[in-house]
Amino acid sequence: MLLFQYSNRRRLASRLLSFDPVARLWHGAEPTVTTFRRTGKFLGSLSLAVALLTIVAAVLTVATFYESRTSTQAVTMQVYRSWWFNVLLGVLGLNLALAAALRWPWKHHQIGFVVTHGGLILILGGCSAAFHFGTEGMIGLRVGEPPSNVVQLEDRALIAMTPEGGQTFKETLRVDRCGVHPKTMALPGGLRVTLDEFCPNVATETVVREGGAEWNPAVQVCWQSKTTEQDLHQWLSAESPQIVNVAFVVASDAAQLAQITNAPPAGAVKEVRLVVVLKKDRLDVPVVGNVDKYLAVPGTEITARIQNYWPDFRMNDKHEIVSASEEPNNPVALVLLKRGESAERWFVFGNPEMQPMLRERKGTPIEVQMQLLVPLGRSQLTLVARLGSAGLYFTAQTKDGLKSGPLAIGQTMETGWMDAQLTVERFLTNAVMAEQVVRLPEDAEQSQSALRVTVHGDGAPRGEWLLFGKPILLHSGGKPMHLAFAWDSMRLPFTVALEDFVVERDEGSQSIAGWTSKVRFTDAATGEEKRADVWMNHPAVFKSYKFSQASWNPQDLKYTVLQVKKDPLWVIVLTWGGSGLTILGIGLMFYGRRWV
Amino acid sequence: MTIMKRMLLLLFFLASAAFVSGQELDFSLLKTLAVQKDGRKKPLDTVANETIQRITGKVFVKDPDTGRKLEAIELLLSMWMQTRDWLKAPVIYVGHQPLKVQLGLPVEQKYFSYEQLRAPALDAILQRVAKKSDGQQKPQLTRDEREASAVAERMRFLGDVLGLESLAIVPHSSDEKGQWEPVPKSGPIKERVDALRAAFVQRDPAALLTASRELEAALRVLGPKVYPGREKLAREVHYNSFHPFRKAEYLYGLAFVLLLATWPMRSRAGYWVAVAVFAAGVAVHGYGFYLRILISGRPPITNMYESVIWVSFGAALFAIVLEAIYRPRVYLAAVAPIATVMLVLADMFPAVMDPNIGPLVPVLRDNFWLTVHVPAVTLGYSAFAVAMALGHVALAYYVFKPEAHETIHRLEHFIYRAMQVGVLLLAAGTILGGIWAHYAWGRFWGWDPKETWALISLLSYVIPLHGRLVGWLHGFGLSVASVICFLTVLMAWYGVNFILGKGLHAYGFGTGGTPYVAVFIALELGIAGAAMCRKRKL
Repeated sequence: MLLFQYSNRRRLASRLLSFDPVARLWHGAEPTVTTFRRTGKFLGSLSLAVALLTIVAAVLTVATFYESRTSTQAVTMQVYRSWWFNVLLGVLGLNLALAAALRWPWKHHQIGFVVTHGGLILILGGCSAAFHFGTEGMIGLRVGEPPSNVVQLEDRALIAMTPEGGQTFKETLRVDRCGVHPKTMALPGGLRVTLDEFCPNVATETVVREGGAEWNPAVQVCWQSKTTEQDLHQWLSAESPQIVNVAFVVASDAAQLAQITNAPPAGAVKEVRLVVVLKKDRLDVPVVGNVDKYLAVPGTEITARIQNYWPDFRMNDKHEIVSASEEPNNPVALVLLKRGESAERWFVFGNPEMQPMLRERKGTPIEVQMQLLVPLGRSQLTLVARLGSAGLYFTAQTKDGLKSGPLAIGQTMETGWMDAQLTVERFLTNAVMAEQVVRLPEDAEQSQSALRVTVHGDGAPRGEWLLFGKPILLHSGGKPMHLAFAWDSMRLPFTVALEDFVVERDEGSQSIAGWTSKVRFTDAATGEEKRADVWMNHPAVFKSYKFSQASWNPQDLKYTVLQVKKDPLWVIVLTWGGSGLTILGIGLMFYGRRWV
Repeated sequence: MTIMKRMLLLLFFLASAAFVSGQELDFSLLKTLAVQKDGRKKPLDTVANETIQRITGKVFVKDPDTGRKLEAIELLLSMWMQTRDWLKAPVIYVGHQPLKVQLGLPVEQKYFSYEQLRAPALDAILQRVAKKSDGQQKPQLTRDEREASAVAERMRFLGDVLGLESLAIVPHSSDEKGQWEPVPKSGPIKERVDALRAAFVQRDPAALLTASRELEAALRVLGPKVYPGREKLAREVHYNSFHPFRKAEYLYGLAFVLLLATWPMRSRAGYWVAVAVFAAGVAVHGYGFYLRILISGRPPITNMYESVIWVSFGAALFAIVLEAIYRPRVYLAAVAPIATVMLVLADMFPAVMDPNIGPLVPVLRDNFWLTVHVPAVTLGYSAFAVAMALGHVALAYYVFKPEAHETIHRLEHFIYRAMQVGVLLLAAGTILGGIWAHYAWGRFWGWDPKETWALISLLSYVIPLHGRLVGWLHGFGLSVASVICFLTVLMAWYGVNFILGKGLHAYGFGTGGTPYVAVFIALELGIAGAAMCRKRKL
């Protein structure tokens, strides 16, 4: 070991590290030096090491259980990227370093220990450097589209654009526990925006209120059903005139009102029919009388079999599927399709809003369209408002025949759809609808993030919501401008094109064995071109940018998303070198005594 | 010709006649017919074992009519050639009582027919399951729902082998990965299958043999380049019947019994016999792995079953090597029961640990690191298992024979050594995993639960090793630590996949076995607690 022969250097370093020079400078300030030295000794002590390791292990244990109960996102933000956890790791790193440093001059048997600690420090350093100095983003590519060089980054940004889509301004935002940074920014054209708040969970909802200038009727109804288990409040208006089998229509005068309430629209079919369509070929049979029969779809090799039929489908108290009556109020059929070896079972619904639901599949998909046709007008509830009047009427087709009459607020009606009942809660004649942003709790599903900003310079200062990915229109100096809160992006110094996307399957089955993006890199400046395959665990590298397969869409096999990553070389050297040193060090520590 | 000779000849004739008339049908050739199923080509024997075990939960099944014990292959052939109506035969296992009540089935019965089970009530439960599982990585299902899904799965397995159109036995003519076809409706293959069926129904051994031979030859010619070699198919059939891991389990068990029996006498002969038995166990165990690698064509640690088998192998290997170096008897005596228990568990719960060889999930495919990172980590587990086994022995000494200072001291030295091996292997494996992740996923460390738990278990061993340096922990503490810290290994190994169920190592996720693990944890904590109480009193 050459290093250990330079005893002068060793002595010098030993003095430096034992704070002797500090002591000389501080002439007589003995107590401070002792404190200093004591602190150093404590920070590098084995006792602190054991304590820290125990704390880290405990924190990590709690964190993983927390993650399994909440989400990876939550635990990442609240633990792994939190300041206190990183301080903890920092102290651990300091402890690792001091523990090695304070034992200078190192004896032969300590080499393993020093190498291990050195390696661990390098890994810690490399990981945090990669986090701060690396570039990471995603690039979406589609077969047949022109080469792209736009990489979407993980950060969010505030972007200003002309109505034509040209970017005139971009500022990367940083979101942390203390809010969003920077707090204020000047946009082109003399506008200024202050960022008041970042809200990670918001949603938009339509608010309906009375007070419009024009006659615009809207009815708020409350649905109650055993199946949904909770009440649903919904608005019926000219914009959304139908919910399931409840319709809302406006009669222009008394004559039309009488016509609607006396004769609802007649049905197109007389009985419930199953329709199976494959391109031009079509099977159309009544359901009743055909249950459990093999029905050939003419012109195809497909056979259909109605295995089960519930005319009035619903769940009972035990969550079992039953038919409440023989009336086709909510018909559902379980249909088995067969073509050669392939077989599928589908639930097909009479409710036109419900798509058929695949129950199970064997073999390749049989791509047909299926529907149950239901006699119209049956079990239909129609709410009617009369132009210019505050009165509300209804007409209902029930199994006891046609019923109609005026409808009062608070009145409850059978809808005829499953067991659902409907109560009229409010009736507005001059309704105004507006979108409103509402804050949601932290664990809300289907939420989006938004920025609350104040715009200065476009008239009086005013507050605006900037929903993520949804630009707002501003005017700067009379010219329109879009302002958006969106993902930050960067441009690569070369372009990438997806030449093909290949999905491999396990032999003789539908299960997926792997997927490969065949990409082409082109550097216009040098004319350099490179073709490469990117697949699971096999990234491609071009000009020190690394492209890894990130995701793809089973529904759209022409599209792929690659992760783009560039780490400075020294970061890679640090982590990989640290890894090697650590393993070597542990080996030396345990088994190296014989050689050193 | 002497009378003697005549007698012998007569005897021979009688014997051979009796042999012929009582001869069972010979399925050995049919067992090696290749089938393309679940993403790979495998012998019919494997299909039979997998299917019958999944449907019935047993290896042998009694003929529903005659009560004769049927081998899996015979049952499968009967299903495939439909020699009776299997939809009406009670062969599908339903064990869960409340489910039987819900489905309106007789509670005392265990096996039901497909048609009995095809009821709307089961459909309703399955629909609930489908709704809950929609888009969920790990849906929260009730016991009834899980059992109902299992029953539906068994019904599906029966449907998968029913009728000639079910199994893909006709090879693709040229493409190695091409789709195989079932028996066509007519033609030479169909004729041969018909002949086979006739021989099977009439129980005519000679005709069956001829028909099998002709069918195999006819299939092989259809895709001579694609059809797997006879040797390869025979090897898998051999693996199926040889049960190397079960044999290893018995051998380890036997070695343990021998060691215990000869312990008081300190018999040298007994010891060496036990060592030999144990070594035979390791050899059979290794041979099993060798076969599995050849059959699957990939490194052998890709799921829970394989990892349990591998860890027990590693532990046994460490034990025999260390025993050879130090000869303290204790390595084998401590590790043999643990290796046996692991193998028994792997053998007992096919639903939790699937022993079948399937194709690899995409994330593990074609990657060099799988052959380095995973074996290193799991061998680390093995070393910790050895430490844990020795820890048990040491704690037993503390409780029952605390005056044996020298033995205890030696044991503690061995525990320390085993922990060192484990720390080195687990650290190396985890760091190699990090390098792989850096290369393949672009980050060295991402706090994925599996990574995090590897780190936690590493830390949990590093803590006592450091604590020992400070002097906070001595031999006894190390023994307790070897037992307690293994619980973190268990969490990293089993818990992340079966309890937490989140993260990038999702290919290993599963359910089941939690009560057993809970009992084990309680037991270990109990042992450690008891030893600590005892130690304090002394």
